[in-house]
Formats: sequence, structure tokens, C-alpha cells
Amino acid sequence: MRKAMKKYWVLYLMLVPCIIYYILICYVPMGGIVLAFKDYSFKKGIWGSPWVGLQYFKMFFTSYDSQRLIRNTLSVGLIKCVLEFPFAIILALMLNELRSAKFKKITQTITYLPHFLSSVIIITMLQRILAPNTGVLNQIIGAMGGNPGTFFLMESKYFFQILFSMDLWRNIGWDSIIYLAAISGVDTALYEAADMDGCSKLKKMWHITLPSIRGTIGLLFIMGVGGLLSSGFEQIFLLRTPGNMNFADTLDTFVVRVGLQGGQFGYATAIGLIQGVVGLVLVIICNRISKKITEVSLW
Amino acid sequence: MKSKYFRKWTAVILAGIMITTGLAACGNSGDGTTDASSTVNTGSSEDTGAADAGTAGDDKPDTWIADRKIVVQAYVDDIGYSMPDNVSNTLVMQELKRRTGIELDIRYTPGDDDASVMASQLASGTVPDAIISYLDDSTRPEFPLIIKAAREEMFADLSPYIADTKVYSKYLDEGYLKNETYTKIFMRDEFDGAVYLMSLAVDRVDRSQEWIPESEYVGGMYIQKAIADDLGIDPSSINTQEQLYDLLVAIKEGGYKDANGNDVYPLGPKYWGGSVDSMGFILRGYDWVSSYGGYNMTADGEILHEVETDYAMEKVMYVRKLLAEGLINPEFFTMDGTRAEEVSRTRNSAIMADVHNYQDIVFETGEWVPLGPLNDFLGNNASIVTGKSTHGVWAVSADAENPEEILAFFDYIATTEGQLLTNYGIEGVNYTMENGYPILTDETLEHLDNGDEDYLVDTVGASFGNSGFILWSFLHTDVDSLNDFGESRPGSSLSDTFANAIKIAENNPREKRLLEGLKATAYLTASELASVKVQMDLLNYQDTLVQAMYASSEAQAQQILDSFKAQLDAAGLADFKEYLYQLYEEDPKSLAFEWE
Repeated sequence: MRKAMKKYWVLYLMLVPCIIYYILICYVPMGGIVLAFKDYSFKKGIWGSPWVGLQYFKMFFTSYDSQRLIRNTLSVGLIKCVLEFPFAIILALMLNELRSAKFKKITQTITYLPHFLSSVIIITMLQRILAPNTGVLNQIIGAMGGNPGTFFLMESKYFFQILFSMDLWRNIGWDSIIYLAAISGVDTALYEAADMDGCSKLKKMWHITLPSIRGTIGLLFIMGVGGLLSSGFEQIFLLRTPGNMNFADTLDTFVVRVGLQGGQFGYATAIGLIQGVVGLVLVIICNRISKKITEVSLW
Repeated sequence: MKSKYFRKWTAVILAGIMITTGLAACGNSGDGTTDASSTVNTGSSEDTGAADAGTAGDDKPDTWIADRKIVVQAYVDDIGYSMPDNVSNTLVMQELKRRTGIELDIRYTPGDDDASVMASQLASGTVPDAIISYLDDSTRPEFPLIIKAAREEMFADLSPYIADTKVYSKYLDEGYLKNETYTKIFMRDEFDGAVYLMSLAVDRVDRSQEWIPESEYVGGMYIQKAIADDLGIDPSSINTQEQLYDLLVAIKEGGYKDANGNDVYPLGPKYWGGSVDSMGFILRGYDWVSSYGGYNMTADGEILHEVETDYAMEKVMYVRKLLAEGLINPEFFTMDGTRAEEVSRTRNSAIMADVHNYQDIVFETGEWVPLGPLNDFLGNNASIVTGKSTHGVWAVSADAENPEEILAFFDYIATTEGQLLTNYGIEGVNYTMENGYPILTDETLEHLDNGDEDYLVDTVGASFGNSGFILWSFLHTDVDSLNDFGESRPGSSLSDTFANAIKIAENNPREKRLLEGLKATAYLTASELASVKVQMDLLNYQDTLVQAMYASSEAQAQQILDSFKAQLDAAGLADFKEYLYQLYEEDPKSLAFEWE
């Protein structure tokens, strides 16, 4: 080890900033978790505030809203982590099959772009597109003889569909990058051999490309499962209207309402802790199952 | 070989830079105040040279307090939006420095809302010398945070110094502050005589029940004058929900078009963007709770939340009818500000749900006239007032040096002399005194009429009513502009700009009636209701009403209201009511209740 360090000391030196970053930004703030068990005092700070035990957890799980919040958060998490998951792979496979380099680059750029737009811009656009009577979608519906007065954002039944479409459009291009990178690492000799055997394109995808990037898919899925109980704040908060709030109220929006707007820092930390612990447990379970079945695992 | 060494040393240098940058970013500026990178900082005397405007010499004026700087954090967006490029460079700040020796370093941090920013900054445990916040009464979202900070003694106790002040000493006089301001904010029982919070914008004389056109904001619904004239209606005669409905139907049948040739919506959103608070104007007849606190008392003495009465469903059904018949813009409650302004300016709304006479679309065009107002559930057309108002609060940090100097500075700004300087600017430059009253100079009046912010805000830095740097007018208290300055705001007696706004107020006088006591929800801050408050804060009655208005069926709408009632019960409605009954028994005037 010492020998290796001496030999590659430049590489180790370059690692130092990353280690410092993770310690300062990711590990030190973890100490703040104790807030979940304390009645936070502005003056006494995190460590001086009095302990309240599991009061906030009890308060949350006995509250009227807890079931609805967990259900909504899980629904959003499933949409983002599970339902959207295959689409980036499919896009990467499709892009990989394109022969025109120019068309491929243009397509990639167009699909990446939405990732760099802020949620505020995307949702403002969405509000205009989905506006009753004046929105593009409703005008198309009206031109086809339908009712152009549907207020999509005020009807809770459309909430998950809107969220799914919006999130997919925004992230599909970005998420496909890593799969494209993995695909580019597949041994071309395999394709040549398959060509000689007369394999069709679909068969090559199924029997060569997909199995070759199985490890990447597995790792990304396991990591994604950790976010099952976090819906992301911005999108949901901005999409919320009085009409859809039955579904558009998740643990993340709840934490902001309780913590930042209500000043209940201990309570908000407790909810955040629940999300973190559940995420960790899910990752561990998923990792074990994956290791057993597919031999792909994080550790 | 050369290339290998080059790569190696480049890597070493880069790694070094990354470490240094990382550590530098984690460093602390050491001033113990707000992070400068996220804060609008108005600069200091060091970089402006303003310090020598009033150095402590032998010829100190009588108004001299101390040669120091006071750092103030404002949680007031109006102040943030009207901040000069450099406060120290403004004529008013330089004159204040000359008179008092004190320079103000005012900071504003933008955020989702001021209460959230306040929560974050208080939680960090650092408060600059003083803070300023909105606080009209104890139902504001800032109130629980400010009270928590006061309970934890983050603020200095100013009670030993108040008696020596010229203006704030009046707060100690019986009846100067209205009862709830005195007992709930200024001199709370729980603080045993300590004073942490100083209310702002208190009128010297209670004129809350008078109609003074020069200073009245005529808010609420406005109708296009052309449509009202065409229909031959007197807009002020629309006073009931039925009359409003009939008017909306008549507008729809009239087939009026907007500036783009599209059909108008009879009822459009408020000018500044769709909002649930517009319900206060369009559904006033079904609003069981005139004090908008959610709770009221029946004639039999039973305390109920509005959702437990028929009024909730009446509101829902009324709007459902408007929606079904195309009489209201479907985005009435949700339209963003930009589009709402657009639909108003293109005259797509025959009626704007809420705007006021000092909005340019009203006073500049003359195309809109006030509609109603509607009668309340008692059939009364008068607006409700709650007595002497207060719009803000300030407090001094417990760690601030010499808090009595900070109090003396705020006190000076509140004196007639201080108000004159900070509201009118510099004598001889911005105004001259005639018959004991300030008269704006022609040049300043021209800048005011043209809304010249470069001059009003960045050069002079006075408030000029609310047309300049709003900080100063926000800090005024013991206000009696008509008596002290002969007009309600600088230039209002001369300026043509707001002549139409005043004329609207003159032509639409409104009755006012006093409703004493606080909204029931103001008492949720009581320490024995802490757990109830946590749960109830999460419930939003107005949003629930809107949800029911847009429900797919009447049955579903009723189900939504029933569900809200169940949530209220689960949150501790019974405990809260019990507390309110006790309060009412001790002092019936403590709660703003009224019944048929």
C-alpha cells in the first residue's frame, strides 16, 4: 500500500479534494440528523437543544396525512424510478443503431437540452400548453371536435400522467448518456460474429448489446431504488394546484412546508430521516436480490 | 520525458488549486452576519466615502446619537425591490448620517417568501444588529418565528429605554396601541414586562373608520367602464351574489370582445395573478366569517369553523355554477401573474376580481371602475376594519452593542423631523416649506410623475410615499401625514399622476365598521396549543374550497369538504374550540366574532 501510494502519489493527491468534499458536504451535515430527536432552539443550536425522543415520528405516523403523503411519494417514486427507467435504455439502443452521425448528434442534442432547463421554465411552458381553451393541447382537442375546456392541471386524475410525461421528456436524453457510453464499450467482434451468423438487428440488440450493458443497468437501477421515497421538491411544488393537491402533496413538499415555512425544523428533519433510512434499506435489499439473481451488485 | 514531467507537475498544480479553492469556499468571512453572496448588500461607508458626511466632531447637532453603523436585515420584499444601488450614497442617508452619526447597512435576501428566509436565518442563530419584518397581526406566518426567537431571548429587551424616547414612549400610553397589538406583540404577558418587538406604521390618530380619499386604496372588483355603460348599470349597485350572477350572465349574453377579438370572460382573475384570496371579493355574501379567520360564533353561542356550516357548500356551488356556464375564467385561481396582467390589459376579463385605484391600469386609463362591493353575510356593505393598524415590526439582536442607540435611531426616523427627511428628501432640493407644510419642488414632482427611480431611489433615496425607497416609510410610526405635512403622501396635493386615483376614491366612498378582537387562528400560537398548531398549519381551507369547486360532481365536492372537516377534527379541533370558549368567556372582545 505504502509503495503504491509512493508510486501514484499524484493520483492520491488529486483524490484529496474529493475526499474533503464528501466529508464536508455529505458526512459532516449528517450530524444534523440529531435534530429529528430534538426541539430545535434558535439560540442553543443543534447540540444544545433539548431532546424530545421519538415525538416527531409518533406525531407523523399518527397524523391524518401520513398515509396519503407516503402513498403519493411512493407513486411519484415509482413513476420516476421504475416506469421511466427503461425509456433511457431504449433511446440509447435506438441512438446506437443510427448510421448518420450528423442525425445522431442532432437527436442527442435535442434530447439532452430539456435537462438543462429549470423546473420553473418547464412548468410555466406546461401551464401554457395545458391551459383550458387557450392552450395548444386544448386547441388541438377543440379542432378535432372535442371539448377544449379541460383544465388538466386542476384535475387530479391527470396529475401522474402529466408528471410522467414531463419528467420523461426532461431526463430521457440525459439518462441515456451513460448507457450510450456503456454500449460503446461492447466488443465489436461480437457484432461481427453475429453478422456472420445472420443475426438481425433486433437479435443483436437482445443477445449482445443488452447483456453487455446488464451491469450498468443493474447498478443504475439499484441506485435509483434508493430514491423511491423521494419525489423531488421543485417539480411537485410547482405543479401543485388546489385541484390536484390530493396527489401533489408528497413527503418532500411536506418537509419544506413544515420545516422552512413553518419553522418546525425537528419535525422536518424527522421526515427527511425516514426518507433516507427507507432509501438505504431499499438499496440494501435490492442489492442483495440483484447479487443473488444476476450477480450484479454495488458491493 | 519532458512531457511526463509536464503532465506530473500540471497535475500537482491543479490538485493544489482544487484544494485551495475548496478550503477557501468553506471559509467564513468572519462578520457573523448574512452570507454576502446571497444577499443584496447596500455597501458601506468605506467604499463610498460617505463616512465623513457626519463625523463626530465638536459641532454635533442636537440629534446626534453615535458614530456607528447599524446592520439591519429586512424580511420585507417591498424593501428589497426598492433598494438603492448604494444606500450610503443617497442624499437622505448622508443627511441622516450627518444628523445622527449613524449609518444604516440594510440587507435583503431574496427567497421563496420572506418568512422562509427568516426561518432559515433565525435557525442559523445569527441575527444582525436589528431585523425588520411584516407583521400586521399575530396571524402572519412570520409571527410564530419571531415569537419563538423572542422567547429564546435572541432579541434585546428594550423596555428600560423606551420611556426616554420621543415617539416610541407613546406606545406605553394606555390606548395608544390597540389592545391586541399591545398585549400580543408589544407587551406580551409571558415576557413579564420585557419588550422585544416594536410595532411599526401605527397611526397617531385612529382614523380607520373614516373615509379619506387622499389616502384610500379602493380595492376589489373592477368592471370595464365601456361594458358597464353599455349595459346601463350602476356598478356600485351590484351588492348581492344574485346581482353579481345576473350581471355576469348579461355580460356573456352581450357578446363582448377583447382587444384580440376573442370573447371576454365575464369574471377574470385578480390583476396580479390568480389567487384564492379573490374569494373575499366575489363570494363575500357567502363568507360566514367576516374576519376571514375561519371560525365564528352562531347566535346560540356555538363556535364553528366555516366548513361546519352551509356557507362552505354555498361558496362551492356558486363558483361551480359560474364555471359550468362559462361565466368565470377557468384559471381564475391559478393563472400566473404575467398572464393575468395580459388578460386584464387586453380586456379579456370584463371584471377583474381584484385591483386597486393606484394600479396604473386603473388610474392611467380610466377604463375600469369599481364594482360593488358585495354585502357580507349580514347584508352589511361596510368594509371591516380592526382599528389602528400596524404593518410591521422590528427587533434588536440580543448581541447588538448599545441597543439604546439603535432604538434612538429608529425613534428619530419616526419623529416628524425624521419622517420629513426620509419621506420628502432634502429641503431646498426636493421640497420647500410653505405655511408650515412641505411642498415638493417642480423638479422632484416631475421625477415623481415620471416614476424616475434613478432619481427617487438611487439619488435621493427618500420614500416619496411608496414611490421611492420604501424602507423609510416602512419604519415610520406615529403617522399623521395629513396633520404633519398637509397631505397623505408627498406630492398628492400637487401631482397629476394620482389625481385620478384620488378621484376614484372620492367617487366611491365606502362605509367602514369596526370589528374588535383577533381572528380565532391568532390564538393558535398559545403554548398549550403547540401540537394542535403543528397539525392545523398543514391544513389549507381556501385550497380545499377551490378543490371542491373543481370537483367532478357535487357529491365529490361534498366529500372533499367532509374530508377537510375530518382532518380538522383529527388535528385537534375540539381542543382548539375549548380554548376559544374559555377565551370568549374571559373577554368576549378578544375574538372577532359576529352573528346574525
